[in-house]
Amino acid sequence: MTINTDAFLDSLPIMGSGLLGIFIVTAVLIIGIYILRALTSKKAEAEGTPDAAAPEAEAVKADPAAPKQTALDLMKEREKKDFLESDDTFTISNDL
Amino acid sequence: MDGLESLFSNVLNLNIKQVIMWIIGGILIYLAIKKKMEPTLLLPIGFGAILVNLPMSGAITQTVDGAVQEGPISILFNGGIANELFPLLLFVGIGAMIDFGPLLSNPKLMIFGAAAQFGIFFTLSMASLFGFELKDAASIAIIGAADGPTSIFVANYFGTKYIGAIIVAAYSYMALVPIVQPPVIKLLTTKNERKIRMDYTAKNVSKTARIIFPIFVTILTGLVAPNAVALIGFLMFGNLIRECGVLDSLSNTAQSVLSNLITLFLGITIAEKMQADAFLDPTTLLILGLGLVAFIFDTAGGVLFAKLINLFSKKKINPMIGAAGISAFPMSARVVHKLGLQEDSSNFLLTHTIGINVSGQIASVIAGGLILNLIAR
Repeated sequence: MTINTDAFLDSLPIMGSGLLGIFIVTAVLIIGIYILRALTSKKAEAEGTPDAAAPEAEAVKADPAAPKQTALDLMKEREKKDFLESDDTFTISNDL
Repeated sequence: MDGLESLFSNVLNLNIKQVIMWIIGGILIYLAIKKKMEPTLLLPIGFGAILVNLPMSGAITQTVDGAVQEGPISILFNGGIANELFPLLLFVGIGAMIDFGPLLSNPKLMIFGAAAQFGIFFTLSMASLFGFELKDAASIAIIGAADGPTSIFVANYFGTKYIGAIIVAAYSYMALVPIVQPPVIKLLTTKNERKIRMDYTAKNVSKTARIIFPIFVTILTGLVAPNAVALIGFLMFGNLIRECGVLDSLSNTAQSVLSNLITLFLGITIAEKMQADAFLDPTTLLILGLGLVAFIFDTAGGVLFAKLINLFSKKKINPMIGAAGISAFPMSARVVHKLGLQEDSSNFLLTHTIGINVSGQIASVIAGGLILNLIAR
């Protein structure tokens, strides 16, 4: 193993360009998503499905006797069920 | 007697390096079964490490008496990894598994996904400092993507000889996220910062937005980083199948059967690059160390970026959520959420961390693509 300071210094511009690049692309993505959402907001309101809570929201609709819950309540419930009740330290990642 | 001698003659071909590889294989199998650390991959990799390190193993291509004997693991490697097919097919499955709803609901959180890729670029410079060639340094740095298929894709693209060590490091550290991240987060945040509560308002995301999103990301990334368009394209193709609503059967197949099938062969095929002579090298230890550096600095990048935003923002954010920007999904989101609960049992961060975590998945692929673009093969 050798310490190569020249190679290190040569790599710094790549590091800078890479970091700058990823922030620029992400910023464009964020702007794009806001535009996309603005263009489809009417449809979203018509569909009326809050993100990530759709299945639970449908379940509530199917049971009129159920108490009214916010999307956050539903998420908390699901989170408790899916995440907190499990005591495994190492969980299989979907990120295969 | 001669028959007995010839029967056991192969035992004499065994060397200490191969035995060490059996032990390493055994450790990986132990971690997979006993500790449940990424068992879908560490178990096949561990078994494969034993399989290819048997003397004169017929599982890998060998030259015997001047004649080339093709081995099935080598054939699978050339047919599935050397041409980047397996990681791409796996990405279809992963794309079908991911719900980008939380991200579409709160897009500005995506910036943390970008910040948490800092470790990749930092490690690139560190690996260069330690004397690795630039293409090897880039391949090692991508361990910090916390994303197996991207690591395989980039390492393979540059044709690095360290691909075995890189893949083992990438998957091992992904499994160790619950151990690696908390001390880094605690070191960089105060107790009061970890207690910060964040409001969450669920916003409606139309089906149209969900359908257009994967197409938009593919086009944008393809324009910026054309070398990564296959990676992001296959990921987003899987997501489009999920969201379109008319291909449920294909979506289910991609999420389960396809992913399982590819994973089954991916692990054992990776072992082709775990042959003792190439793997048992002090450099392997250095690569494992640099992989850890990448994960630590990814986490630090996300947390410090959140703290930087807090300097200018009236509405404070919990800086821990920045750490969820690494791609290890959903572990990273869960780790940060649990840390929040440790400080305040009613602090609910998961809705934020899940969104950031899926942005990390996209950002890691973009980071991989940028590296492919910035460094000549």
